Amino acid sequence: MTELLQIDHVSRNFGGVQALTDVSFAIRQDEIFGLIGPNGAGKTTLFNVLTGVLPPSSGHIIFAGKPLDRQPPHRILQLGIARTFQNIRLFSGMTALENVLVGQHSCTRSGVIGAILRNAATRREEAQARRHAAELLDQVGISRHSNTLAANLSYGDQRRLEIARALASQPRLLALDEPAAGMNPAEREQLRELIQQLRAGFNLTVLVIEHDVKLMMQLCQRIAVLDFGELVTVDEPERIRQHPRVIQAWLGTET
Amino acid sequence: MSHSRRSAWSTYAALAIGLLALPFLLQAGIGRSWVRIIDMALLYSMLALGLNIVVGYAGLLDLGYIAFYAVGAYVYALLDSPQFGLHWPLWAVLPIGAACAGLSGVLLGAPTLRLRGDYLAIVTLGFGEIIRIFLNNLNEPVNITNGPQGICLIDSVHLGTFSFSHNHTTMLPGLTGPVQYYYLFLALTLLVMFIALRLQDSRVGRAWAAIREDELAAAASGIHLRNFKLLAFAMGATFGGLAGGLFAGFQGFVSPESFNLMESVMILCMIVLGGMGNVYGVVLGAITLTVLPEALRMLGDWQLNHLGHVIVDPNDLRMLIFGLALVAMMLIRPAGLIRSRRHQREYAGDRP
Repeated sequence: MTELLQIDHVSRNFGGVQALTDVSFAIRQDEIFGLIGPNGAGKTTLFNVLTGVLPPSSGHIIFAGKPLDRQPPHRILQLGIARTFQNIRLFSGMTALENVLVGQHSCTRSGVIGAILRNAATRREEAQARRHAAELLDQVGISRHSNTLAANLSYGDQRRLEIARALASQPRLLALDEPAAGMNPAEREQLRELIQQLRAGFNLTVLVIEHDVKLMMQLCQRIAVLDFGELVTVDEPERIRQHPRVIQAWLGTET
Repeated sequence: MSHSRRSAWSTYAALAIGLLALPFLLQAGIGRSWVRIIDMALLYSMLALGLNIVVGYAGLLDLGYIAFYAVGAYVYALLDSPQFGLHWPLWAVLPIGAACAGLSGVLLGAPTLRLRGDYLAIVTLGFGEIIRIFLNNLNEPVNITNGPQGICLIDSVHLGTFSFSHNHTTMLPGLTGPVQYYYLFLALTLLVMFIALRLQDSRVGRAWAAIREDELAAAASGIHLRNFKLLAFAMGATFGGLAGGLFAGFQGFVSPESFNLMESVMILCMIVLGGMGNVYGVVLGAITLTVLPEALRMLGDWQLNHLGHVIVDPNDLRMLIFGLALVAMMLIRPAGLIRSRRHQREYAGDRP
């Protein structure tokens, strides 16, 4: 099994606060990989380091054989890692379709001259981008809202739109930051199905951060547990459930 | 379908005839000075459309925009006046001025890339002032800009032997200098509008809008923030430089005084009043704010004619009425006269 992403001894501190300490693990091609941990465990920090929002204090991240050291966010997207945000960050004044069009930015080329002249190549690219965007909206199940402003979508649909926008860049790794936050059990179940469906349909590798342990146990092939910025363990869901430090630090008496 | 298309065409035709006849109607109706006022309104429309790319599209609050107008005006002035004895043709001077302005847009934009909102506004304000002070002081040790006295006897806008300042009333009655400038400026304003509209609805325009709404999400969507911000600064400045060159040729005189902070604020007001991000709104805002102060001037004449003497001097009231009009506008239509769909939500606050 090939490893798509390697997190190699990554640490990150904010002044005196050690948010991540010497974290190492690898995500395999085609798996749905979960990252769990209590609040403040460093999950989102790891996400931000991975996507270039924050540089690591030390350590490396290697994606598809290439080091991601100090690459800005737009480069990391071009290399094939797309993400969503914990607190939804859509372009709320744009329609759902336009949001997905922006997501295709890195796959399209036309510039100022093309925009002004609107020549054949530009028109073709634009038409193709719009078709692709409509398909993506259909695949996440919100095609009926393609001309609705993102701000006017329901919460669950906004989450779906954010996933569609991320998929628009044709990533190899899709990183979802708490995609089920604020959803009810039925919506969570739908989301799980959607993620599994997209993983298969787009040949994706998926990295998910989530609080909902039950959902993660069903969704992920392997799960990494973070606590106080340190990696506790990486294992299959069944074994995670029985890990003594996991029960103590995170699951409590829930299972 | 064909019916609605036909009615759309007849609307456009009526609009075109109206725009073509406007200067003659103004000359015949309320006076020749009004053609000059409309000329200025068109120049300001081009300026406002340029600033709208920076502020309205990309969301970068630029308070020093007038500097690019100044660069365009001075390039024209230096290359087409007795200052250096140069008299370059229009097709060379205007593009050079626009290009210099675009370049200075990049140069001034580059150091401000990491700044946002208030901080960006303050730094751009400073840059605007730097350019003005430079122009004011570049008469020593080598006299380039003639300092605070400015440059006069600038060649009029001319194509070959055809000067836009000379009357051609023998060719067509009423075809005076300002009327010819009106047609030139109208054509260029329409061109700038066309470019602005095309840009707005394109990959580039969407990238700008994404940066305006959420920089982090824009970067995470693969948008190169630095390049697209600089592109916005450059495009906006280029339009500013074009308008500046035309202004120099139109007035025949430039001095640093014309490019003060108040002018930058005024152009920003035009955008905010008209509807930030909306091309038609911006043009309407520019025309309103150029014409309104002049129209208020007429209040004095009206009092003199109808009441025999001036009770309230309009020059005292002009700015007050102007200010009140702006305040009222912001309360009644905070998103501007013609709202941009993309911007509507921001002004709506928490209302659903």
